[in-house]
Amino acid sequence: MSHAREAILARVRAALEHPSHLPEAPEGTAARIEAAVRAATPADVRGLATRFKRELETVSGECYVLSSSAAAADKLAELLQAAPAASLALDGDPLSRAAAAALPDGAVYDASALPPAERRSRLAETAAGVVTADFGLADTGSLVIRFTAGRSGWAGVLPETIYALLPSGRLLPTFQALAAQPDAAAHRNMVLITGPSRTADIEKILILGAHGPRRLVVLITME
Amino acid sequence: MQTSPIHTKTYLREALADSRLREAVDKATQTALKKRADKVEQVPWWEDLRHQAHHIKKETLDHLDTYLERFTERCKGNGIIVHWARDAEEARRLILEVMHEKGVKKVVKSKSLTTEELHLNHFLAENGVESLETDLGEYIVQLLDQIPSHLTAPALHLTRVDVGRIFHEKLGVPYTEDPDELLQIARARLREKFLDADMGISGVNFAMAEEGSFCILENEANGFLTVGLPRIHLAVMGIEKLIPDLASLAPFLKLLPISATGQKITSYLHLIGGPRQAATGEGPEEVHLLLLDNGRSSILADGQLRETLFCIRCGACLNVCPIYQQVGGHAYGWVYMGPIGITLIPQYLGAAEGRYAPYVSSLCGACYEICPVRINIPHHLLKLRNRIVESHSTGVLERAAFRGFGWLASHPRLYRFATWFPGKLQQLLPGERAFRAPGYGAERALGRFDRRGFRKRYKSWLRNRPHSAAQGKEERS
Repeated sequence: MSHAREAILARVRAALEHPSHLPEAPEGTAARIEAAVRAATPADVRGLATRFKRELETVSGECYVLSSSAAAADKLAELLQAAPAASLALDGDPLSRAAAAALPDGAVYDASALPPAERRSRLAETAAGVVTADFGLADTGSLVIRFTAGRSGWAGVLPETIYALLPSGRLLPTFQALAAQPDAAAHRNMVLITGPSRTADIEKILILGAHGPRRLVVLITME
Repeated sequence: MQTSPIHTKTYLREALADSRLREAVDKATQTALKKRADKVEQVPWWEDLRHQAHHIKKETLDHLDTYLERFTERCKGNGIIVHWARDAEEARRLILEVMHEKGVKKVVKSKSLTTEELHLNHFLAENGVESLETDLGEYIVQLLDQIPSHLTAPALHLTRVDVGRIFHEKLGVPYTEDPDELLQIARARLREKFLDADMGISGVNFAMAEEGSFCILENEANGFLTVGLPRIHLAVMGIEKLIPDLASLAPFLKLLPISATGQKITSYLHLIGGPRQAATGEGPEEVHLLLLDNGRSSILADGQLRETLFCIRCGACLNVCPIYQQVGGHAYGWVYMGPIGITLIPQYLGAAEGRYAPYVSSLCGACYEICPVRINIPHHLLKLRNRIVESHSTGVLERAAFRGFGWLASHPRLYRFATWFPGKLQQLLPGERAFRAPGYGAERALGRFDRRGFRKRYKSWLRNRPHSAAQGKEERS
């Protein structure tokens, strides 16, 4: 036990002997918020997908709602034809691999198969990444990517363009629903991604593509 | 460049004389306010969220000892190495120790006000460690050897022309004022640094006691590269950043981004609950978390001022403050500026050094209205002003003047005479001239006294005033 720890805790305890003189929240605050959020939440998966798309588009992300994973693979091929990528990294997720299976070989590689040091420098030079999200939060259009075994989360941030697959069954209405996932305790490291990276640090002018991707495309597959 | 709030009067004068600065700050704050208002409108339960967030902060800080113990216990269980620092000096020493032990030579930093409190970049440079800010705004102010002028937009005081010149002079690139090109210059330079760094240093937005994890919100992905790429991640957090658990993060995730930048959520939210797991191979080998007191526990000791520790550093009170809008952040002389800054300055730095800070306010109350966690800033400012007077940190003349006024105000006849006499005396001045007031009249016109005196004038106003709305209401009820 460090001296500093004991000293700080002792100071905090001494300070807390002075009671708080601050107002309490009005009665029913939490219940009102819950009711308002519930009322604003779409009832079915289709509604969640629509909301996700709308929210993502307001932050300059692109979103396609597709009928099947085969349709998602076709869409991916089409998008890559329209905007060819000199190199394409897969995050190693089986869904990403399946979606990219029909793409011409050559420039496509599985980032999760590389040792971390090499993976890092290679991803930093890669034009596009294909990743699979663990969840999507409909009310903000956010992707949730957990850092899990056999998958590269870096592939979702280092390349210039990100294509993200999101099966509709993984759509959640809100962050609250994510926090309430039964396996939340087992996955403590994760990132929520909402649209391409951005900055407005110069005269509050919004520019897309700061230190991360300039373009983010989400392919929702209806299950 | 080190500044101090003791010189705030000088900084204020300099800022007011700088019309370019005023224009830049005004434009940026108005833009931010508009964006915020648009988003708040979309959340009809906004006021309830503010109450809820206030309640969560109150609950945590009223039992901070319990939450700190739980949090650090859980962190250790998750493999996070926890350090405690009583003050800035101890924090700097601990950070340097970790660096020496791990052979750290190159550091990338994502924006953290708590590390600004430690003057960490200067300290590291003195100790031979290269420490580079990676947030675009912070990168720009670091090139100028300045501190941020806003809590969330560090380079808010600069125009694109300024940034173009700075890049041209400091980085030797051809001049451009195109924001996109300027960003690309910074991006290219920093990407190399991210890949090369041994350690990433970040702040913490919120720490969840129950889970033993913490989170960082950001937009540029520089935070991702800072916490995710180097082999060591060191996060610095004030002990007040705790909340009970992940579920209680929800209201803050709405309140903070909307208040700060008018975004529903930031582009990136990192939840960090330990070092890399071998199977993923991604993320730092070690996560160090430094818990900083540095005066926070003494702020906690006041049952009302404790509320100033609720601040989530959104910067909305700066944007809405009529004084900040005129002078920007550097005029305050410290890392925390604007309305919340002037409550923190005397509390962190003491009544002597912070004696002017709580007066850099018109007490208009806009900061309280906009604060996402309902900190009653004007109320706290009055209390702090009182404290400063009682600590005898005010000047001799000022004290004498107020003592004189107090005496006069408690002698009604003399008071009446004193409010009547100047008006009479003024009539001896030729023309319509007013008395001179040293130190006041140079920049402002001092009006003439009313020759009747205040009491007579007020009485006649009361008699003759038109029926006001308030009076009408009284009559109806």
